[in-house]
Amino acid sequence: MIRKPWRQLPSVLYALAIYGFIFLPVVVLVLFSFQDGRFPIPPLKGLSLRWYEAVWNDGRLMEALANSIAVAVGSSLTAVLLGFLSAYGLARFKLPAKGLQRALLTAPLTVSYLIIGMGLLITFNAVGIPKSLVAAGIGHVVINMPLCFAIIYSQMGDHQANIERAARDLGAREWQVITLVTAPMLWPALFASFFLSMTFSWDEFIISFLLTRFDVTLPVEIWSLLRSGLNPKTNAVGSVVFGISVVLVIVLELVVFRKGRRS
Amino acid sequence: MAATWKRKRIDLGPWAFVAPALLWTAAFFVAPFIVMAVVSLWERVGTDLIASWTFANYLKFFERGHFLQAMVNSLEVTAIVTVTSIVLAYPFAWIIAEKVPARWQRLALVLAILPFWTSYVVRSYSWLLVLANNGIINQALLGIGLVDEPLDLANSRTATVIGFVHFFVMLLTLTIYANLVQLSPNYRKAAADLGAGPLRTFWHVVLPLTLPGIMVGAFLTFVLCIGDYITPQVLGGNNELLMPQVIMLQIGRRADFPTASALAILLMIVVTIAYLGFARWIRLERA
Amino acid sequence: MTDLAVDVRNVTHRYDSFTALDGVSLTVPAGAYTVFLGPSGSGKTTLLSVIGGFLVPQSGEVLINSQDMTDVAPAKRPTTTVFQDYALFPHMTIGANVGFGLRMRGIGSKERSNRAHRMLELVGLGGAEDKKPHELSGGQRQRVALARALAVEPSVLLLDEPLGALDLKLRRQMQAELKAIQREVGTSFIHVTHDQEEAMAIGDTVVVMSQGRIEDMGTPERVYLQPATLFTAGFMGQSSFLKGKVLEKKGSVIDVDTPCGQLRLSAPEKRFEAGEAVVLSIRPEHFVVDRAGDDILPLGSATVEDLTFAGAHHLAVLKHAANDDFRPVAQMPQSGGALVGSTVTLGVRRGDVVVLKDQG
Repeated sequence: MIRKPWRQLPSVLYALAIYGFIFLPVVVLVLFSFQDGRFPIPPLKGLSLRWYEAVWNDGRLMEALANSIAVAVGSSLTAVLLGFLSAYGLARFKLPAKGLQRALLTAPLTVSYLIIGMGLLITFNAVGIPKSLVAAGIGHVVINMPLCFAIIYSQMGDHQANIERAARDLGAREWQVITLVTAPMLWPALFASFFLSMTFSWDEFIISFLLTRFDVTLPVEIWSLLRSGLNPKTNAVGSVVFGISVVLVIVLELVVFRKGRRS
Repeated sequence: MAATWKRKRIDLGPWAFVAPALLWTAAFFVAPFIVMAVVSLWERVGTDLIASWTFANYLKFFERGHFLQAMVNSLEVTAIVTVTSIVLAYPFAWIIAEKVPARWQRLALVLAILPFWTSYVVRSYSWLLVLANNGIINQALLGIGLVDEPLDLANSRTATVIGFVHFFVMLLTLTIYANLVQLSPNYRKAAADLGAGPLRTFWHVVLPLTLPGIMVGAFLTFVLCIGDYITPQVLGGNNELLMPQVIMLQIGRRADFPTASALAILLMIVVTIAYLGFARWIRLERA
Repeated sequence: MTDLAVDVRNVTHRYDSFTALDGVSLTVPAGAYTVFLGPSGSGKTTLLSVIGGFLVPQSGEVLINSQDMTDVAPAKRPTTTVFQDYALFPHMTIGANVGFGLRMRGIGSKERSNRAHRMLELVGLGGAEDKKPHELSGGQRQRVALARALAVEPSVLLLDEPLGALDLKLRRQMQAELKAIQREVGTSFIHVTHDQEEAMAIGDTVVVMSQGRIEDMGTPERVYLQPATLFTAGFMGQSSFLKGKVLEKKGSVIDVDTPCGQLRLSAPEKRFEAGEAVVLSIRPEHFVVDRAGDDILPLGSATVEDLTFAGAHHLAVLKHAANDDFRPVAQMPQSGGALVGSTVTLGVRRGDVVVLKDQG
């Protein structure tokens, strides 16, 4: 098909250079997590799993990992639930000032996490709410709910409204319409927004940093690990986080997009 | 008309769906913002916060050189990052969309954004590994004898920019690719049919049609970059500070919430101005 | 008197400044196939929504089976709707789709699947229970939507442009099937369409609507051959219009002065006064070309301006010799007819001319 292969050479070289740039830090990170020595820098003195063992035995890190999962799941469930309900309300009913309501619900998307976190910190301080994982979770709902709302709202078109109308016409009550028709019909959108929220919450640093103290999330714990300088243990925990994220992405790809493509 | 009113049902039902999200946003987004705006007008005397109405904290920004300098640094770094990332990402996205066979495109794209999913904190740390004095690049350069002494790559503005560009090249590749593939191939066919060569087709047809997508990506880059704390904090060293770092210093070291709030609001104003400019451009483009 | 399935009384509904229904009253007999026909914006779909309960009109009443249903929710009415986009539940099997209404009525799963199966057989889709909607073609989805709506045994079935998304051939085939299914189940069907051929082929009664009002209502034959208004004559099939003025009235015979001469016409039902402005409406197939006779009214001569081949015949656009504004469309033979540019003499059978009031 391609008649003159050498003419493609610049493209190939360019693509390889960019892939190299993109993958360089990840490869170094993962490679030196197996370093059989005290520093994650060349030369590679041999392969070992000792730093993974160190991570496994580090109670604080493992606790932070559990905290991160709890905050991610809890805040994502809340964000999806609130996002879904508000999208349904705004898409299906006559309400005053709909444009204003939509703007308000999506406004947090345009404000940086630092400012959202700071506002919550000052407010919680003033009201007397102590720093905690719950406080961080509240912040994560604030940043993720607009996204869930936007994704789910975009999937509630006239066609979907007609399908709900048909269910009502056939005798379904409002709660039956939501549980038997709307939610199952929007399952891919609900799933996608849940997973997106999960990954954002899982990776979020600044809000958790500002709003937690004794029990912290994994990114905050890794941050304090950074103070010890270059350390293969940081490489190991970074590789673990990368691995978990990639698995999440693959699950999302398989469950949502494969399904979406079929119908 | 009487019949009209008789049948108008007053229904609180719909509010039950919208209220939780609205209340959440009001309580944890709008209220904190108002609190922050009020606190920015307070004074900090010694270690106490005194409720007052003064613009002193805002004036401080213009009076003290290092605050203003931080804003200038932030704008410079963000501008360099945005331009560099677009220049690097556009050809890359174009190669994936045009040169890679259709069945491999999805894989090529997933690979191109895979490191996206390394933890945000860890990503900056990884660049520190790469750029450190005894890191892989310096050792390689020393090894082949290109330099005699290790280069000071880490802890500099260059390192910050590299860390940012790495992230935004991935993000922009995704958005630009999405733009390129939704372009109907008929535009290109029509241009070719009318006698335009590949280069002129690209310049006169493809580029203008993908410009709105590029601008959306550029705006996203601007917003995310200017508000980021981790990357400059890990990679930038102590020579210069960016706005988020200065804000965090007020909170962390000095618990000076009024100054931090004032600086945060100033940063938001800058982003808002950028947004208004962007929105205006988009409107003009559509008209 | 037959039972009334639907009785709409003086219904008016406005959207902002647009009047969708303007004092509409009509009755639909039980067990019949009724078609609402009109261009978009004529109010036909609004009227269907009012009957189905998706819209509460601002004034007027809707009675279904002689009970006031104006304010009653769709679910509580003895009506079900087949939606234009079918609105099948995408996440449910075909069987579950058809059984949904029965499930909402608390009917057990065994009975449900039996009845779903019977309904699917009725629409020619027996054995498709376990498929998902996206596995079916457009025509098959249409049948599932029909089976789903009929499964709850409504007394009135509402169909909102049900064939709009199908291609022409499938459309004509589904028309015949819809009519057959209606005969079999005996339910009253109300069907909305903008396709006048579909309306004529399928309806026992055709209700022609325009600008929120009912223009005409009757059997397809009556509405086509004796349209009540100018709008109906123009919308149901093709018609040529000739303006005139009533000179004299003698019993059921009137003399009309037209640019094509003075014509003596029969106008049995309608009362026209001398001096009244009227419009004569003539169908293309009612023109008689180059022939004379006792029952044929001569209309003078005309030139053939354009000829279009329509399969079974030609359609000619003519220009009247004495009146440039009168450009009738007449049917011409399949072969051996006049050529473009030739002059012909035009006539029409006296009984085929429809006399209508000139509404301006």
